[in-house]
This record gives sequence, structure tokens and C-alpha cells, in this order.
Amino acid sequence: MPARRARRATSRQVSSYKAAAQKGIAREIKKDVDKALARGMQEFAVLSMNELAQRGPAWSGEFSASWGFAKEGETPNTPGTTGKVYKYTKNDVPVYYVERLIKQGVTAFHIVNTSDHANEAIDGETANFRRPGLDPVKEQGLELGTDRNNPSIRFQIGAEFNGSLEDAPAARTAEPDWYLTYLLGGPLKKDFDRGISIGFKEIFR
Amino acid sequence: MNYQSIRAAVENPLLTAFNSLAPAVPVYFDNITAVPPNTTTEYVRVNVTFGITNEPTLTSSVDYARGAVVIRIFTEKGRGPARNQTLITTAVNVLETLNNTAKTTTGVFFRVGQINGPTFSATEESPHFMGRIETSYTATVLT
Repeated sequence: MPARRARRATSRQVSSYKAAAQKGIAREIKKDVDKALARGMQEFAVLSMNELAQRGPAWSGEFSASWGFAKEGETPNTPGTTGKVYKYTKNDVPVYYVERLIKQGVTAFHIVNTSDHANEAIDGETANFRRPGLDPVKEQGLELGTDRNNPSIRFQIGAEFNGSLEDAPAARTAEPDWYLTYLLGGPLKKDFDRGISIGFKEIFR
Repeated sequence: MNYQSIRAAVENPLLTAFNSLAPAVPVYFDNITAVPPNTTTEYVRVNVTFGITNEPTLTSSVDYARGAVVIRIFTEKGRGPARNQTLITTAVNVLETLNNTAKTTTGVFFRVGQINGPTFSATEESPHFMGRIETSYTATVLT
């Protein structure tokens, strides 16, 4: 049986194979980068929403459970539960949802709070505040004050009140400007760096 | 960490600037409770918060903090935004002056970031028109 002679590829064929291989590699890298980005965004969103829930006010717990992640311009679905400070998990930001958005070319995402009183809760507006007839679900960070001169900003509760919550004329469960501190003061950037770093480490380990 | 000196680095110039106006405009800082209730009198409220202390940096400085400065200006409602904006300009000038101050060998090296706002709001219940600006800052306590 005559031996088959290997055909030598022409230089044009070689460069074409090379180009195809490079394209294939580039496609694979892009796929992995997209996966890492989606996983990183998921991790960041969960970290950030938990931090916002912890730092923010919580009496019934509804505000803490009203954070959601979506593409910019869309209103996310949020847990909206009450009775505790909500703990967000990866289930609240499914990675396939983020992957799908990245595949669609979406580049802007947002984390929003969908509760009716969100603007007052982030100290954005003055309003008439009244004490809810229940103990706050968030005990950490509870501060008692001597007065509340409505209309006021959420955190304006007067001087420190030494007594029980029941007797206190005013109370707050989050620091003044807690939201802007998170946004501008460094913690948001820290959560973002951590989230994205976890995403990339997982995919490119 | 000397938080008090960081706070003073921004609070003192703001207090001086608003006190120098004619008439002087009262400035209220954190944990000062004498904000006049339900009055139409104008006033300024300054909140300096700390976000992160001593995050790892390339420098060897350990007395380093980041945070936010929020300045709210309250003026009489129903009189237009002019007065409020004039007072906001005073606050912005102070922040910009801080950024133009040269670094010294002692004291606090204070720099603010981009200034967001002003945003304005007036609710039905409130006798005030509120203008707000906010910015991030970084501060290093120099020894």
C-alpha cells in the first residue's frame, strides 16, 4: 500500500489556521472574562445590598428587604419581607441573569431600593416622622434622642436620651447620612473591588 | 487616629466662612441639637462622616481616613432659590480652598473629591427650602 505523503501547507493556509486559532482563543477568553464579570457583579451586588441593609434604618425590616439589582432603568424584584434585617444571598442576584445581560451588551447596572419611603430613609428629604408602634428589628445602632421637631430629616432626634426605648421621645436605627457615607466614603468601592476580585479569582484560578 | 483633627480641618473653615457673612448664618454640626424647630430662619447643617480608616495604601501612613462631607443649606421656602444658592457657593468655595491648600509637614492633609449637587428640595410640611451638596474626602494626619 503506497504511503500517503503528507501535503505541506502553503504559507497562506498557515496564516489562515493561525488566525482561526487566535479567533478561537480570543472567543474563549472573552467567554471566561464575561463569566468572571458576571460572577464578580453578582458577588458585589450581594455584598453591597447586605452592607446597605445593615447600615440603613430598620424598624419593620421592609426597607432593608427592598434593595435590588437590575440593569439601569429597570425596576428589580425585591424580597420586601418584614420582621428582620434581610440577608441577601446569591439567589437574589442569579448569575445567569447577570450573564444574560452582559451577553446582551448591557454595561450599566444599578442597585435600587424600591420602598415608598426610600428617599426619606437615605436622608434625602425632610418629612414628618413618627415612631412606629413596635421595637426595631435592628438593635445594633439604635440611638435614642430627646426630641423630634417635625418636619425633620430622619436622623434629627435631638440630644442623647438616657432611658428606655419606650420612654424615648425619638429614636433612630442608622447613623446620619449612612447612605452617602457608604457611597462616597470608601465602603462601596471596597465592596466593588472585593466582588470583582472574587469573580475573577474563581474563573481564572 | 485623630478623628477630631480631621473633623476640624473641614468644620473650622466652614464655620468661619458662614460666620463672616453679613448677617452671619448659624452652622450646626453633628450632635449639636439647637437647630431651630419650625422656624423660617436660615441655617446650615454640616455632617462629616468616616467611611474607612487606615485602608492599606502605597504610603506608609497609617493615620489615613476616607469619608463624606454633606452640607445642607436651609433657607426660607417660597422665596426662590437665589439665597440658597448664594450660601451653597460659600460652602463650595471653602471646599475648593481646602483642595488648593498646600501640603504641610504637620497637621491634616485634607482633600475633597468631586462635589455632587447642589440638589434642591422643598416638602409641603417644611418651612424651608433645602439645598444639598455632598463630596467624598481623604484625610491624612501628618506627624
